[in-house]
Amino acid sequence: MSLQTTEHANISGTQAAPKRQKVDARIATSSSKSLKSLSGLPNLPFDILFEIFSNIAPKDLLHLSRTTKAFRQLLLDCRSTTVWKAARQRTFPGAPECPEDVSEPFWANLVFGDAVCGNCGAKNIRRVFFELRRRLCASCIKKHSVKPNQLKSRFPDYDEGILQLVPYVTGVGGGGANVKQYWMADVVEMAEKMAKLQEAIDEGSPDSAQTIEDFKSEQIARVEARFEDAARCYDGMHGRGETLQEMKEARLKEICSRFVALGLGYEESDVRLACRDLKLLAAPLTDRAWKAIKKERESMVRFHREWRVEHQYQDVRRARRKIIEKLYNRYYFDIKPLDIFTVPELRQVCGFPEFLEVVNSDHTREVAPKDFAAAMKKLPDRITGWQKKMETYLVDRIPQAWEYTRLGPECWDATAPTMKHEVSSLELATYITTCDYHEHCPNGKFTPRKDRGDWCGDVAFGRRETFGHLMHDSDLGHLPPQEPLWYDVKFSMEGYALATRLVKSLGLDPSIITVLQMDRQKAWFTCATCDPEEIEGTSYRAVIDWRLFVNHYLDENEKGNGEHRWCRLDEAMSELIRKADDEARDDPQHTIWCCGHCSSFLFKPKDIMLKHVRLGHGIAESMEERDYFREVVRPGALAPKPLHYISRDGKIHSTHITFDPPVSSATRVKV
Amino acid sequence: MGDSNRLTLVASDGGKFVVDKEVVQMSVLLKNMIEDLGETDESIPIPNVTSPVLTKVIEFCENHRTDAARTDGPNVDGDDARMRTAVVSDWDRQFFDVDQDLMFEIIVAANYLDIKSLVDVGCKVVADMIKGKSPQEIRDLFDIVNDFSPEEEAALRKENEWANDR
Repeated sequence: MSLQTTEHANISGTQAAPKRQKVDARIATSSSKSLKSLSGLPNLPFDILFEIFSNIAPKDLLHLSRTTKAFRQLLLDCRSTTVWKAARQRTFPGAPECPEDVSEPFWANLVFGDAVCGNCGAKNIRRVFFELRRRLCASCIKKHSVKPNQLKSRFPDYDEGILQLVPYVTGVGGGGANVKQYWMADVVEMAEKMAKLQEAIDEGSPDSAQTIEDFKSEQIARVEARFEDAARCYDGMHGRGETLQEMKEARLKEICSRFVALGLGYEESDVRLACRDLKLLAAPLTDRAWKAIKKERESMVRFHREWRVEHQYQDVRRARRKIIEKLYNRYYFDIKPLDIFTVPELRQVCGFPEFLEVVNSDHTREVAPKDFAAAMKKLPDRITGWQKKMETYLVDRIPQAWEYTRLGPECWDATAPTMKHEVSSLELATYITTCDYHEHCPNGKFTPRKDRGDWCGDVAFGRRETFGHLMHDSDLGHLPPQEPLWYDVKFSMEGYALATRLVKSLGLDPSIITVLQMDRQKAWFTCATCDPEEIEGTSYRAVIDWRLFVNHYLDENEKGNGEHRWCRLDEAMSELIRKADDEARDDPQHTIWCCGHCSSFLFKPKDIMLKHVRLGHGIAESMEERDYFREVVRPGALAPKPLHYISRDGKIHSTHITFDPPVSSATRVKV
Repeated sequence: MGDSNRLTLVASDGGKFVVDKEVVQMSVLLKNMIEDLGETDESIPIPNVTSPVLTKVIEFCENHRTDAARTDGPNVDGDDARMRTAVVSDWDRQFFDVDQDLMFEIIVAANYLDIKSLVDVGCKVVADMIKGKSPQEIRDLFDIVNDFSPEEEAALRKENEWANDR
């Protein structure tokens, strides 16, 4: 191999002079020519090239030496040894030193060269056998090595003593832990050397016997030295790993200190947490890399800072929020029960700036209820602001006209008016929402089920009930206050279309009729799609009001049971049901009434409620939905079961629902 | 009588550049020349450097004139000065964002004028271009012709054969 011979002649220095002249000649011609006429890099002056070489790693030097003959000659010249050595020591300070008996380029190739098997070229071969001074794959070791017990069969002419002159490895390529494996090429090469020396003895050269003995002793010493070197190299490679780790740590420290130096309250721990999965290079941090890392990681660092700050004085903040809770409970108590549904809950109140300021103030300071006086004074305004914000949020989510077209012609008349984007729309009977809140799976890790209680799924009628569903997180007052990331209330287009048709069926105008007005119609319906129920041998259909039909319709729709159709009872039938219903609502056992003026008088029979309103609040002419109200209009209250059933021949079967205490028996009215 | 703090450099193509002495003194070659000449109105010819290259060299010196003052200070040793340029700044990188011919000419000119910081930065930029590239990628980048025969290339792939003792 001519290339090799030339290089090693240079590296050994034995024929260095003529080669040096050749290199110098190249440099001399290149420096006198215009750079433009030649390729720039190879023609740079020698000192500049060496300045460039001093900035690259051994592997890059290897690659450069394989680009052109000129670079190869230059880099493999013995005068370039310092370049290789400097590159090794600068890039990997802990890497094994080059042994005295090999050249620096060879060593760079062995230690830092491409991870390929030096024999077969297999890729991803990281293991270097320093004893053999080769990077080899397991398969080549197995194929091309010889064990002592195989020597005679493979090389019958060789003396066994030759093996002590050749280095070996153990425990690789299928050999046992103590089985020596000799690289065959090394054995053959040594055998050839010995054969030459033997020839001299055979020819009777004087002192040749002594020469061969001397050679053997020297070679044995060399092999021993090789093993010592190898042990040192394996240690060095281990050390190189440690050095790399140290360099990575230094880089991380630099990243930390640069983030801290930004003066934004970041601490080293925030940065370390944010950079846990960052692939760190074992190299100093450049300005360019810092810019990229800052851009990529700063939001994470900020997140960890906020988390740390929040948790640092968690107990102090909790205690302060506890004070707010007490103050707000007192405030809350004075709010009329029907208005309670539209005021924010504790978690949102804690997030109002005046409260937040006191909670986050100097943690060493003792905070008392009086410190919140200014915040409490400002509270009514804040609540009004919050309500407006929520109303805007809900109005913004009323669909655009074109969105109704996806309902299909069977439930939506394309010419019908759509809901207006204004706050007054929220009071209409057609403003119907569904709540998708599911407490345990905010990130959607499992599918919530309504029947398992994972999911709210309730239908809300109008502004007040919908507001109630915006505060599902109200029980999480102990958590840091924040605006919910999303609300779970959705405008129901199906509900809107159905309510529009129901309102129209009563001869009313859906664009003006409110939820309360619709309730007061006391119109009765049955579901014409569902099968009748068997009660005591008679077939009955459930009689339901408009709210229950909307609930039923949306439920069935969601289950994929298609469109359920309603059937409105005729006037005579409705009158009978109305009478039965009034009786049921007035029934002393029917505890569904709550006071509209105080929070403590809840779930009472109607007569007791009227008495309470008259005597307790001095209202002689009381009015439903103002002075008292039914439990079912409370946001989140379960839709009641049907109270009345009607048979084909006009028989009415009535039952009561109760809250506390439950009443199991039903009152039956036969008409 | 001209401004004693400024002097004129004349590029190889005749282009004239009036520059602050402080800036010019970043070049060790020119600094020595000025000291040798003493107070003079004469222009200084730079025979090996063309106008476009000299423009860039002056731009670099203008930008780094304060660095020069620091590194010339009595308490700063060479290693320290070198450490300062361990990382190529964005400005320097931008400065060398020119075609390769001009880039190498700037480095050669800096070497001739003995402006160490410019040589350092230029060499680092070239080194960064080489880092992590395969031999073929380096050839492609610098438009270098591969003069190895196929046999020689095959031999290069088995460089473990370098294992001969020195």
